[in-house]
This record gives sequence, C-alpha cells and structure tokens, in this order.
Amino acid sequence: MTAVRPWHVAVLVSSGVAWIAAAWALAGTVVPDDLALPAVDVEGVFGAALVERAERYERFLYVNWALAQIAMLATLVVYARRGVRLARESAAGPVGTGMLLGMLGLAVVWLTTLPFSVAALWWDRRHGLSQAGYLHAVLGDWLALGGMFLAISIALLVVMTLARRLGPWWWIPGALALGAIAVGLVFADPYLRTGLEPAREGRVEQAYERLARAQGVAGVPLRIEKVSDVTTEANAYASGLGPSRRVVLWDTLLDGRFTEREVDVVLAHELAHQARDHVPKAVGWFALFALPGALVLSLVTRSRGGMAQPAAVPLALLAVAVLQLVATPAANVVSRRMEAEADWKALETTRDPAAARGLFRELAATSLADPSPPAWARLLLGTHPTLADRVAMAEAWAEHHGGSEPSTTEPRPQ
Amino acid sequence: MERLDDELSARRAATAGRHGSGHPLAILLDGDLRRPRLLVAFRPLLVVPHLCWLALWALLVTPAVVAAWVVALVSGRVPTGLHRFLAAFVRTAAHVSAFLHLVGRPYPGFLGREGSYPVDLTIAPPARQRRLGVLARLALVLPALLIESAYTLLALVVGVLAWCAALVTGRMPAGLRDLGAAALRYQAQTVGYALLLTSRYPDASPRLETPLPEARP
Repeated sequence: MTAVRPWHVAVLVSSGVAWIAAAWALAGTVVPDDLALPAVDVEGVFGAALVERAERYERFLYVNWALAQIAMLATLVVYARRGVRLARESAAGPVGTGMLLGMLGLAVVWLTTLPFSVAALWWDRRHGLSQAGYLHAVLGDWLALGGMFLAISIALLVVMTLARRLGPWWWIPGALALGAIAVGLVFADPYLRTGLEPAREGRVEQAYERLARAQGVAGVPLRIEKVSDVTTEANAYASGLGPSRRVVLWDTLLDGRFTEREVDVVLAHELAHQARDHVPKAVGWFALFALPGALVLSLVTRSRGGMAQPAAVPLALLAVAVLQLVATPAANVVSRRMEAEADWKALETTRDPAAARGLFRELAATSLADPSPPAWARLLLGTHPTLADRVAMAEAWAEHHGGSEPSTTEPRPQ
Repeated sequence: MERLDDELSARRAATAGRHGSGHPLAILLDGDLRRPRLLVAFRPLLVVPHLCWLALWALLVTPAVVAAWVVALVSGRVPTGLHRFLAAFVRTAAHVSAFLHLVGRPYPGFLGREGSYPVDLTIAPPARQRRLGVLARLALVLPALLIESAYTLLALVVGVLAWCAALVTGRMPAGLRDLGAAALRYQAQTVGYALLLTSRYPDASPRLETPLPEARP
C-alpha cells in the first residue's frame, strides 16, 4: 500500500481546481440565462400521425440500442476475463501485445454488435430512410474498423509507454497526450473524408457567404457531401480546427424538400458552431473527461499490473466502455448546450423563427425523429435538444424579440 | 484422423527450417500450421498499425539507401550501421507480410529484430560489392521487380485462399504456406538487392528445398 504524501494531495487538489475552472470556461453560452421555453403542443406542431409514426420507429431503435449495449458489456466482461490468453498469439513485445489485445477487443465487440447494426439497417430500409445494401454496409463497417484499430493502437502506444516509464502517475500526462491525439484527429478529419464537393448551387453559396459575414466567420469553406445514394435523411455538420475548418451539408438537404429559408437556418446553425468554437471546445471537454477517466483506468487496472502490462488491456477496455456509458449523460448535456447555442445564434443571424420551425418539422418527417422522446432516451442518446425544444426555442426567440418574425411563410417545395 | 496428423507432421518436418539456397537473405519457417480464427478473420485490419509504421519508416529508408549507395560506390561496402537499419526495415516488412498472408501465426513486432518472429528473415552481414553492380543497381533490379510483381500477385491469391481455408479449419494448408513463403522470400531478396543489402541476385525458384542442418545460422 503506497502512503499518501502531501504532494500527492496537492497534485490532486490543484488538478481538481483546474478542472472546475476549465469546465466553467468551456460551458459559456450566448443563450440568455433567463430564457424560458414555452410549452409546445407536439401533436399540433408536428401532426399526430407523424408523431405516432416517429415514436414507433424510434421505439425499435431504443430497444435495439439497449440490447446492443448489454451485448457489448457482456462481451467485454468475458473478454476482460479470458482475453489475456490471446497474448500468446503475439511476438510483438509488451506494447505491441497490448495493441493486439486492444484491437481484438474491438473486433469481438464489433462481431457481437453486428446483428444489431444489421437490424437497425433493416429497420431504416423498411421505413425508406436508407438504401444501403447489407453487404455494402457490413463491408464498409468492417473497413471502418481499421480506422478504429489504428486509433486504439496509437492510444495504447502512448498510454502503455507512459505507464512503463512513469509508473502509476502516467494518467496525468496520459490524459494530456490523449487530448493532443484528439486535437490531431479532429484537425485531420476533414482531410480524411471523401465525397465532399464545393457548393455548386450559387444561391446556397451566396447565402453561406452572407451568413458567415454576419457571424464574423471567415475562411471556412462550405462543402456538400453526397449521401443521397444511401440515405434520405438530412443532416449537416461543422468539423475541423483552424485551417481545416469546414461546414458540410448533406446533399439531401438540397433535394427540394427544404425551403431556401430553412436551408439558411441550417447554414447559420453550422456556422454558429464555428463562430462559437464548438469543435475546439468539444476537444477541451474530451480532455477534461479524459483526466478523471485516465485516473480511474490506472486504479482499475492495478490488479493486472497497471497499464504497463498487456494483461491489463482487456480489463481497461471494459473500464472504458463502462466509463463512457456513465459519462454519456454528462457529455450529452454539454452537447445539447452547444446545439442550443448554435440554434440561438442561427435565430439571431437569420431572424427567421418561422423558417426554423419549418425546418424542425421537416427534419422530424425526413428522419422520423421523435419530437419528444422519453426522458431516459434524452439522457442517454440526446446529443441535440429535442425537436419540440428546438421549436420552443424558436418561439421563445420570437417572444424575446417582440414579433420580429417575418409575416410571410415560404411555400414548401412539392 | 491420426493418419492425417501424421501426414501433416511429416509435411511440416519437410519444410520447416532455413530456405534460401545459400543466398545471403534466407527465410526461416516454423512448423506451426494452426491459425486461431479470430486472428484470421481480422488479419488484414490488424496490420494497419504496422503498415502506417512501415510507411513512416520508409521515409527514412529513402535517404538511408541513397547514402548507402554513395558510400558503397566509393568504398565497395555498405556501412554496418546503415546495413543494420535497412535490414531491420526489410525484416519487419517480411514479418508483417508473413502474418498478413498467414504464412506466420503470431502477431509480429515493429522493430524487425532477428529471431523475434517464427517466420524469420536471416540477412548476412555486409560484404564487399562490385562498384559497377552498385552503380547499375537500379537498372539491374528491374527484371527482378517484374518477377517480384508476379510473386506479389501469387502471394495475394495465396493469402485470399489461405484466409478462407483457415477461417473454416483453423489451420493453414501446408502447401499454401510453402507457396506463400516462397513468394515472401523472393520479395525480400528483391528488396534486399535493391536496398544494397546484398549483391546476390534474387533466387526466382518457388521451391523450398529440404532444410539445412542448422535451423538458425
């Protein structure tokens, strides 16, 4: 048993204070503190038939997700107990063997959860949301696993090397190193994606330039991602850091189902992510979560000789999966806060709550998203505010600005 | 069943050992033909870290081989340090290729140490090379590269067939293992020749001869 020394306590206390200060700094938002969201008549706004259809669609996915999580955790429990035996299949030394055990852990999880992925795809195809073929999807998933293998190998290389050199205190530089790896991956992400094209529709590009100027965002290119051959769902995202920053629209947003003003709201929302530095802030949050996560990991794996030993890797995988599940509600709170801020800033830029309401209604229809999901689903799966809350925010914005909403509503394309 | 095992053992005994016709770059085979299915199924993905590592390493190999070429042109010999560096690269690539094509069973290391993998590549220490051969190495290696591309295709076919067979049976068919090893040996000898590790031209024979008395030099 190692005696607790004063400097141990000092390191822990100062780390805790720094953690809280950093979290405080990252949590800032432009959404007014006193903003009260009005109650929304969900069936009135979205239509009873759509709400019922979306609820039925989502219910299957909830069950599927829960079963997949149970299967994954059960697999990792078995792997934590028996996976060590696979170390004899390695001639790669301790760190290389740790990397092999990490990759094999992901492989068995992938195999176990594959039926649930296929079931989700079957459900999407049944509801006309996906046109992806089963073989294509499974093969693509299998190849994507190669990227995950590389990521876990790099993470284990860093963690195990630090643990071998620094002993039980590896977790402090380890968390920082994992943060640095996250920065590298987020920076590289836009360059690694394929199928991104510059915007060809002049109107979209002009609107994007206008909204970017209004938000003070410069030098962030707009890209269109072709996904219409595999899905009918609509989406957009902001990615990258510094010179790699991008705003990406799925081409399904431009297929005529959304009005021009609704597309403008999407553009303003994604630009707001860049204007408010949500991507670097998300990396900052990852680093903040990584610090206590690494500490827990170092404590949990002590029984296997610590992270310096490859035998600890299967147990570490289980610990990471449990930690991830436990941290998910907190991570979702952070994510929802950023999304709400992007919605608010989009409203401030477009000053068009009618278009925002129309967008959220149409998103519910095109993605069959339940506008008001159950509380547990919000807690564990809600990375965005619910569509009902987003409509409520648009109404709150209109209320806040005393009826500055445009009086005309744009006719929806047929 | 027993007869089958006897045949397999006999086959293993016939091909396990050092294979290289006295060539300075020779391949060593072990007799283990078992291949755990989990490692077989994900084998092409498990080498992703190695491929990235080899790609980074190759960035250093390029200036190293240029330096080795200049020194060998002047002195008729590749310096020991450079030879060791280039040999480790070729050996690592051979280990990874052996794992990928199911010629070897365990997961390979990253540093290419001799004796660290059961399917090993032995590389003789640096020897004197004729300056004219060093000067014209790039042109001389071209015919070998042509044959090597055929061997690469062969290794790919062997790898795919072996992957299917090992996924079903949990074993590597001995014939496919030997064919894969022959392809691997030729590839290594060609790269070794190109990188000035030896002045001896690659041996194109696909035959793995009976083992030499010494399993390891």
